[in-house]
Amino acid sequence: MRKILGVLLLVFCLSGAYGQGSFSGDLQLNTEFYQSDSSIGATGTPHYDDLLSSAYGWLSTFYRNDQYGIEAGVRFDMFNNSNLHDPGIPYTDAGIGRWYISKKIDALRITGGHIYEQFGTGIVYWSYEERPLGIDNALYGLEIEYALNENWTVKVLGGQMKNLFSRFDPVLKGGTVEGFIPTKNQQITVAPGLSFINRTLDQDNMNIIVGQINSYELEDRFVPKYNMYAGSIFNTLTIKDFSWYAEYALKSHEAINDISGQLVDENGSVIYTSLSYSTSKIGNGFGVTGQLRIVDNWVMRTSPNETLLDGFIDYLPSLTKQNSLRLTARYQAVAQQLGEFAYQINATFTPKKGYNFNANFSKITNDSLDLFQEIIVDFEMRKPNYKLLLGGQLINYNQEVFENEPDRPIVKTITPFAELTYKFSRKKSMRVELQYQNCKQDFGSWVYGLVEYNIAPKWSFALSDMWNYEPLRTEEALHYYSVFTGYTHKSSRFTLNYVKQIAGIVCTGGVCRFEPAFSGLKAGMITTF
Amino acid sequence: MKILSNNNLTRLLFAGSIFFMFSACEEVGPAINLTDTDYVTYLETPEAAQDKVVLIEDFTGAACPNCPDGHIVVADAIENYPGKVVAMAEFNFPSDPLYIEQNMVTSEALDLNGYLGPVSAWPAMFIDRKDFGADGELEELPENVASIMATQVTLSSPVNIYIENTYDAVTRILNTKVIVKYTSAIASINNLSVSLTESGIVAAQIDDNAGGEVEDYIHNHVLRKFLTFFSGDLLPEENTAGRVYEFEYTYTLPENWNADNMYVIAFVHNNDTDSREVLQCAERKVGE
Repeated sequence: MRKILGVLLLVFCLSGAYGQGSFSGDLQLNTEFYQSDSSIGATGTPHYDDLLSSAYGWLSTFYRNDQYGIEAGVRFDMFNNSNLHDPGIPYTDAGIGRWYISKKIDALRITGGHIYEQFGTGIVYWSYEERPLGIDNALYGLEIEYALNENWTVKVLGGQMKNLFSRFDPVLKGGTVEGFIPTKNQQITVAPGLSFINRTLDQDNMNIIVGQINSYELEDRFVPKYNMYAGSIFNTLTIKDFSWYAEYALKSHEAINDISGQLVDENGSVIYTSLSYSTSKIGNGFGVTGQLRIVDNWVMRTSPNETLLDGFIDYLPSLTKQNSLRLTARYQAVAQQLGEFAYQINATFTPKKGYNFNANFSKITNDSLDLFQEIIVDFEMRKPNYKLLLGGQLINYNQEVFENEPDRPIVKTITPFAELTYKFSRKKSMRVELQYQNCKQDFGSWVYGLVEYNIAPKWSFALSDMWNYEPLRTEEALHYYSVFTGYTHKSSRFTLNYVKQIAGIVCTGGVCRFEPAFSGLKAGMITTF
Repeated sequence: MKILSNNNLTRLLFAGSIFFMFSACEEVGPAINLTDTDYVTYLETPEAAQDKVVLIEDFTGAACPNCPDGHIVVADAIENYPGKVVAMAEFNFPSDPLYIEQNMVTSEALDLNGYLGPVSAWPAMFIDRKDFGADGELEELPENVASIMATQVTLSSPVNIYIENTYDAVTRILNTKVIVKYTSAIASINNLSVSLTESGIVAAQIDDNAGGEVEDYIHNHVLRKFLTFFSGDLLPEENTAGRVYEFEYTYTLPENWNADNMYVIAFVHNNDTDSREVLQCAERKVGE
């Protein structure tokens, strides 16, 4: 690692000597103080019993010199009893979490180090970072990118997926060709693409797989493959106000875990398509988008021995609306890699400036099993000194499948919501949220309220309470409240948040995981330079 | 400095990426047991436990100069603990096939390297397939064998094993019956492995102790063949105290194997992902 830092330092120094470059960076730091609260289930883990606090942060620095086509970066990661990667289990380590160096030579760009990359929509391959969920799926290896001409690009890469400060042992190689076919008539465009990925298992992972398979009944045994091949073909066709995206992905058969955790030899496929229409000729704007995704045994990991969010090499987000309000986001559908039939339709209508209607319907099934259904409509009105959002949501949520809780009924919720932002002056504003969730299953019904007062550009204060006023899982009607303060100074923001947070599925960017309840104080800082 | 023109580079990239993708579409794959062995199972009153018999496996090779060190510690263990040690010399040294024509490398010994290792240095000693160093590695150096054996032979075993052989010297057909009797309940996944070894094989060996090649080196306990799958056959029932399994195997010995020097070895071992531990081992001469 010292050598790596030395090389990067050399690049920074030499580039500084020979040309003008730019140096930038950012720091994100979070600290959590744990206060045990057995009434909400925030207790009994090392953090609440003994450790009492945790901290984690990332310091990123980048250097860019366009004159010499050089780009380099290094990021220091720190995790002190961190609760981030596997909630409830403390993790401590620190070191270089990412480094990379990149050089452009005419139409060729070569990059080495930790690489974030995406093929198509990410169904076949997407190495990415999602800090709130502790995900850092960078590829540690080499990438070559070549612009064949102004419309076509080829990328080839190879390496291993990052695993905190080490790497998963299997190796990856892959490539993508993406292009754009212009037409004389500018109203029609075509953007096709093709991508491949090949993952080869290491001997240690294969030994575990072989040991498992040899312990099965004869009819369940099979010869597992070291190599998995996956590829996809995709295209975006745009004709006037219509845009149609279609992607078909296939992967070769390999050992994957079925729903019971037993290894099975399956190939996989994904069909994904979206069709959208938008025009300014209807009212002040109208748009409708339909999406369909059919998933069949699409498990893309470094090896079947990895669990939870570990070792993913693709990106398969939930195909439902990503809601931001607290109660409307309470039940979210995790993408079902083993199989799902999912579709959603979203329509937006702006009859005149300042008025906007949205409607979304989504449904996910697996064979004959209903997994998720959501209908959500809202109306937004914007005036010079206030903004009002009114809406309602209906959800059917299969808790048995999404949260692996046996014998749970389908959760059905009705959630009306309102949000009002009022500007007292150019600097001072207040935002109020009110949500009610009627539910006869799971935890029962909820009321949520939030009052936020902002003094731009520095201060922000918020009080919120999520009240389980008709409890079904607890004897008492519990309050999950939060007191928040934020302060911004130039490019730095500091936050303090005292939180009582209920256990549940937490999604970021469509990627979801179960998180236990939290009780305590969260302090955060973000700064850029 | 332009070494490659754009067109040449484009072709090179395409060719390279396609080669990367499809250079190895076919693969042999790991060894999976795709056959089942018939067995008889029943429950009886649990019998008294046998004394523990320790299995020493020695990853070795005729072209491996240090490997005679492993042979020496195996011979010492057998001498020090008579009747309580069973040995298997598993020839899987990479250079052996290049060294002697009639080499003793078996596909099963090569598979065992993947199953118990893989090891990067020979000789590698496995004592009851246990991780004594708690380092995640099952193999031990020859110099550690004596101290480990002193403890291992004092342990008890939850399984009794009996071997009954019938051998016809004319047809060279060997019938082996292995009876496994649990004396205590075992929750882990257990396999039964049954193998044939041969001693007294005279063949060349590179021996650093002797200063080079020894043409008439005597090789003992050489693994010849597994009658089960190399990682064993599953003992699939609930293995409570009193559980009995009876397995029967028939095998015709090749002409170049000396039946008088051959042994049937049977051992019951864990087959969990985190444990391969041998619970009990037994050995019986082919003609007995």
